[in-house]
Amino acid sequence: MGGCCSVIYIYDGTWDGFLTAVHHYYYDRQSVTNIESALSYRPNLIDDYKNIIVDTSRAKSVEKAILDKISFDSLDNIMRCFFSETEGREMWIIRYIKIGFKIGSKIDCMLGDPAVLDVLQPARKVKFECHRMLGLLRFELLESNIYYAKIQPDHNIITFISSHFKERFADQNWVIHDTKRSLAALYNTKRMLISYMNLTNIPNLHADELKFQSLWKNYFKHIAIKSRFNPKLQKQFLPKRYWKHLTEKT
Amino acid sequence: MNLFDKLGVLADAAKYDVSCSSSGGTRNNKNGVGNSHTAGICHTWSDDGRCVSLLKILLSNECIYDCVYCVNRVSNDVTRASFTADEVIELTMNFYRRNYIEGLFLSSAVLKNPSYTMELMLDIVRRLRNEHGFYGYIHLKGIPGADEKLINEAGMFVDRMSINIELPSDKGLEVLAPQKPKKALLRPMQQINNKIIASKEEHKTFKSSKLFVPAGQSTQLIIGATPDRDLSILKLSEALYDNFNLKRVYYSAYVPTLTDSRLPALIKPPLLREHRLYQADWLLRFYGFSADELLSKANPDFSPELDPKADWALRNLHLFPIEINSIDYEMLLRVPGIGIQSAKRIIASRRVGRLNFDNLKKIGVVLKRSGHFITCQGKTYETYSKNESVVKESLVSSKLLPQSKKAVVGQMSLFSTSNDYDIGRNTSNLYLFDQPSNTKQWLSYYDQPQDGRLLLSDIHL
Repeated sequence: MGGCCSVIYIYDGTWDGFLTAVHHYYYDRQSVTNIESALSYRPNLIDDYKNIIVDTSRAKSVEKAILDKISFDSLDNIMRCFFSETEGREMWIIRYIKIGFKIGSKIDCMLGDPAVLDVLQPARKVKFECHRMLGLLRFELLESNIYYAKIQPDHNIITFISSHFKERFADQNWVIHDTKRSLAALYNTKRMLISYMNLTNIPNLHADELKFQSLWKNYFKHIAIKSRFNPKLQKQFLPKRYWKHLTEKT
Repeated sequence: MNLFDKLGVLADAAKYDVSCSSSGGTRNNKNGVGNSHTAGICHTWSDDGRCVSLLKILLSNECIYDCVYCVNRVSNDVTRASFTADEVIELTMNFYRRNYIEGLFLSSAVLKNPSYTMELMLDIVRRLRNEHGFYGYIHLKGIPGADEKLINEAGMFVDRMSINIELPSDKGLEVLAPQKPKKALLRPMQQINNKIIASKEEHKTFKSSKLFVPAGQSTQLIIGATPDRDLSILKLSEALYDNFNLKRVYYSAYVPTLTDSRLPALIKPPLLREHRLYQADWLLRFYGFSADELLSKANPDFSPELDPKADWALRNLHLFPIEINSIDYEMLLRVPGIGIQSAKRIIASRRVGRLNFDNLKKIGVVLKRSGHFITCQGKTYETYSKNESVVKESLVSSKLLPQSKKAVVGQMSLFSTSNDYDIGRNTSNLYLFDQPSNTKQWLSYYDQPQDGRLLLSDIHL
């Protein structure tokens, strides 16, 4: 639409795609008003936009630049902020990187700065949900000896949590299925794969599964002390939105 | 009795033991199942709002003792049951593999005699580790009076061991648990502590030597079953931390499960008192306070309306206000409204610039509480007052005020998140693949020859 000077970048929604866009942002010498994911972007007739094609070598070089010029902690926070899927995060990260490239790892100490907090706060939320999900995820044993867990986290955390389960349940076949994003982590006691996929035809439950579910529910019921009942406190730790995938709460 | 009912009975019998922490473990998975998570992981919260991290059960509730406060005492009319070793192992392994729990917390009533009981428990933890390749967390209760050798051997298989003192004074023990003199409780705690220290020393020289009770030992004190004051309870905790290097002292509000003329006639467990003791316990362990600073003979109990730190600050108003941009970490921690996390963030931020009140708010400092105690670059906060009653009003626990939406009395957690995640090494695996045309093939991933030949590219569904 004839826009000569400013443009919106559209990337494919992945981390590497985003980093590629950051690379373009620095080298295209073009004024960029926004960076948006193809998964959420609705094009209109007013804005000019440019499709960013994923380029892993460009992505890697941005990752390396953040590591070298800023710090490991900053890269970690930027990545978590990205996977928070918070609207507007792309430009927050750009702003953060700009400051970081100027002042280096000092940025990790600027904990009261609004521009830094734009990235840190979503990153903290992601960290918090990751830790919470390490406990709240529930596997069900399926007929084909696969442990299957369905999750619907607020943030896109499957990459951050999978390595924990890989280490812990190294001798089990398992699947962690983020049904909200059609993402799954598959592990077959040797290798792990994380990818966007729709898992259909999920096998039936193993013959023993319901027995252990009912034992667990019974334990959960008995372990509470009646004279200390405190549903408000329980909900504070265990928000209701997580209940539908919790064996003991269904 | 079937397994389902047994689990109900023996979970009921175990639930008054409040410890459920799974922190401090260092075990890695070596070709089996399970590992420790340094910060511990909560897996669910029961209807009373307490975290469930471990499968907490008694091996048996058929006790020969008659401790008055205890629901399992021999003269109490409750259903009795005992697990077999196989049953405990089956439950632990199956719950663990489904990610219900971090591990097992096994305790027991005294069955026949202490050594007999300890031997049964030792057998279970040994088999879990050796036969089932289980590397999850194990917290084992030491049975006072059991053969020292058994406790020493069990300590090589478990992560944490605890011996509950339960009653915070000799007098209390004498009246309510005549078969358990305090000396008999403290001796094995001393023994465990010595073993821990010795095994750490050995580990320094021989890296391959196994650690004895690597996550340390803990104990529990019952609050409200005896007339002990908060001061003597806190002094006891302080002595336990200092002398036995305990990782935790747990406080359990006495839940009236029995009536006996020797017990107080309580209607409700003293939950607020328990909460105040936990707050004070945190002040001892992480904030550099000593018991004598918090309570005194003239003032032997915690205030219900003020938390111990606020109470201390109010009694020491002459030390404030302090300048945020120059005061040391130890004193920062003593300001109401500044916790460990905020104090650390303040220290870090100060390295790159001077802070103002707006920065403090963003960092997470509660200015409503801390405003009377600090200055920023010489300025006081807008609500600042020297008037003691105004300061006090801002410090009264919001938890106690009606219609409060704030946090409710209950568990405390030091860190809401843990920082020990590796940066996702597998991130580059996360590509956006095209919508798979045939989604029926994903199961074949599990039938692939398991020789490591499988590549990412094999899975283009």
